Amino acid sequence: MRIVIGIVIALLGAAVGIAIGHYHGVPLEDKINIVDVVTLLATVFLAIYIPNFLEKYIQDRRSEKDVVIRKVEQLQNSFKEVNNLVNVCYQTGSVTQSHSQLIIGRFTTISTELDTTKTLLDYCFPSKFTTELNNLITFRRRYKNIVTGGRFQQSNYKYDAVTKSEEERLFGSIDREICLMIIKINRA
Amino acid sequence: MDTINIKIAEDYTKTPGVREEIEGDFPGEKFLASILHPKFKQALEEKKKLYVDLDGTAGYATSFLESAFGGLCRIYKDPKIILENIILKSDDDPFLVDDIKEYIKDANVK
Repeated sequence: MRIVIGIVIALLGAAVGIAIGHYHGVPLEDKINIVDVVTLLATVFLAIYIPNFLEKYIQDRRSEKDVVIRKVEQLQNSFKEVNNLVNVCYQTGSVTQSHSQLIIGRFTTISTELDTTKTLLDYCFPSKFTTELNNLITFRRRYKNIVTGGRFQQSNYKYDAVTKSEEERLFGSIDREICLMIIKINRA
Repeated sequence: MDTINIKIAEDYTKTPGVREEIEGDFPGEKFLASILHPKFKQALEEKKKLYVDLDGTAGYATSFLESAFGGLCRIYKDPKIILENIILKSDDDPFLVDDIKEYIKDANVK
C-alpha cells in the first residue's frame, strides 16, 4: 500500500511539474546536475529512513526501557515495604508473628522481582548492567541477613539500635543503587 | 542419579520458624537434628545425594536457614562435603539456593 501511495505521489509530482512547465513556460533544464541528483537521493533516503526505521527504533527502545524501569521500580517499592515494616517493628519494640511473615513473604517477592529484572536487563541490554545487578544481588542477601537473621521470629524478638542502623544504611545503599540503575537505563 | 529426598513443606512444616528450639515453633535446629542431618548421613553412607526441595512453604528467614544448613556444615567441618552431596531446589525463590550455599560456606567462619 505504501509503495502504491509513493508511486502515485511521484507520478502526481511529475504531472504537476510537466503541467507547470507546459502552461507557464517555465524552462526545463535538459542537463542533469550530479550534485542535485545526490541531494535528491539523500533527501528521499532521509524522508524514508527517519519515519520508517529511526523513529520506529527509538519508539521500540523507549517501550523496552519503560517495561524494564517499571519492573525496577516495583523492586524498589518492595524493598521500601520491608524498610517500612522494620520501622514499625522498631518503633513498637516488637516483631509480631504477622510482621515476620509479611517480611519473609516480601523477601520472596523481592527475589522474584530481582530475577525478572535480571532477565529483562540481560535481554534488552546484554552485559551492560552486570555490575549493578551483582551489587543488587549482594545487597539483597546482606539486607535479608540483617532483617531476618539473629533471633528473628523469637517470641520477644525486637530490632536493636545497631541492627536498625545497619538496616537503614543498607536500605539507603539499595535505594541509591536502584535510582542510579533507572537513570542508566534511561541513558542507555 | 540416586537421591534421598526431603520436601520441607511436607516432611517438616509449611511455616519454617526460628533458629533454636527454645525460641519458638519449627526451628532450624530441630529440622537439622530430626531430618536434615539423619538424611544427609544416610545419603553419605549409601553414596547417594540428598535432594532438598524448598518449595511450598511461607518462606524462610535467615535465622532458620543458617541454623539448619550452616549447622550441618558445622557438624562436618567442611563446606565441600555438604556442597558436593546436596542438591537444593527452589522455584519459589530464585536466590534461595545461592543464599543457602553462602550460609554453608560461611558456617565455620563464625
